[in-house]
Amino acid sequence: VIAVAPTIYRGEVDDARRPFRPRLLNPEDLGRHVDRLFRAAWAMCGHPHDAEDLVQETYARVLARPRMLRRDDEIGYLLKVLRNVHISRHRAASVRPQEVALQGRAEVRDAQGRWEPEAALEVRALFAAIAELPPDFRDVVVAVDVLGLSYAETARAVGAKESTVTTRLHRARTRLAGQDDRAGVRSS
Amino acid sequence: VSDETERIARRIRDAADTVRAPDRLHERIAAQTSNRAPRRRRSVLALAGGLAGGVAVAAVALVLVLGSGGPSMDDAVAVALRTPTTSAPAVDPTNTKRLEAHVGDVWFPNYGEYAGWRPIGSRTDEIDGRRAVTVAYRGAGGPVNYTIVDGAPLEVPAGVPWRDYPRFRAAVLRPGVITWEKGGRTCILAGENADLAALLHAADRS
Repeated sequence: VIAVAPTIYRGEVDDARRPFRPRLLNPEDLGRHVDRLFRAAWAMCGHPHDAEDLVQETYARVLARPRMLRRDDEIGYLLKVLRNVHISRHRAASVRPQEVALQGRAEVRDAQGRWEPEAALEVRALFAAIAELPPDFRDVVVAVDVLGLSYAETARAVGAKESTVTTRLHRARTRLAGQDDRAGVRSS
Repeated sequence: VSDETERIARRIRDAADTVRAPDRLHERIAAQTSNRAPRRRRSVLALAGGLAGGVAVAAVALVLVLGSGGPSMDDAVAVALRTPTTSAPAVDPTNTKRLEAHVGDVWFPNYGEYAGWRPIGSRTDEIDGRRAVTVAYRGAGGPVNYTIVDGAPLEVPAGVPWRDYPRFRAAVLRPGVITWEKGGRTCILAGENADLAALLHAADRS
């Protein structure tokens, strides 16, 4: 860290490091997380069509009543709910006949919004491989690599220590790297 | 971390960056969230009577337009927190206060000159078609990433205030992450263990 910070900065308080005062979640702020949550949902369940349902159900659950945020971490909070919704849906699905997933076009676009078939294949293969990981491994890959959360945020979202997150992440990535041939996850 | 695991992590991040939620999902979520707007706003709309419907529709349309308009600051911060993938740029021999890396007219500083932060790596990402270049430095307090996002400045999330300093203004986005504008571009310094004074000082000297 910079050894000699000018006096004008010494008194600066990092509000973000202060104990966070719980606040009500503002529904209007949540719309900006849809893309990121959709990515996480797709990697979690392995299919874009199911991911849409998962995201919508997550928002419905969060918006059903006023929510108190204990940390200033909306996306981490949404991920936690997404994970719970996914677990609930998975349990429910296991006791009813399997539905046939619709083959919808994956929403993989370039910067100009054009459909990108090659990128779509890569996303489909990678996300399917992530979805097949054991849940503990899958959740940290979704949080860190898909959503871009820090290890601390991931630890809070999945309810584990940071050291555990690090270990799980390394093992999960090792498994994914090893699945390249078997799961059709080709090196680019 | 082995090359193999780092490579798969990079592929996942790059692939994830190309994924957008379908428009129909954006529309449904916008409708859901606008229905749950804070009560006092709803009461104001109620007073407006017949105008309320039109205002609500306009608000939804605005959310949709803004929601699909370029990268968000959250996306940029996610990029800024990533690990470097290539070697660090060298010190510019023509000006030792900066490195041989820049986005437009904004150059990455050589913090080794006065602070002891040495560049240890770099990476280049694309966020919604915008180039984002990151140089990772290592100092006594751990790694700090400096990201410059090309194109028009990104908006800070609602509720995050700008703080004015003598030579620039900055916003604290989350613990250890600040942003400021320089040369019409968005700059981000992200060091999870760095203290705010050090980051502000570094931003000031960039």
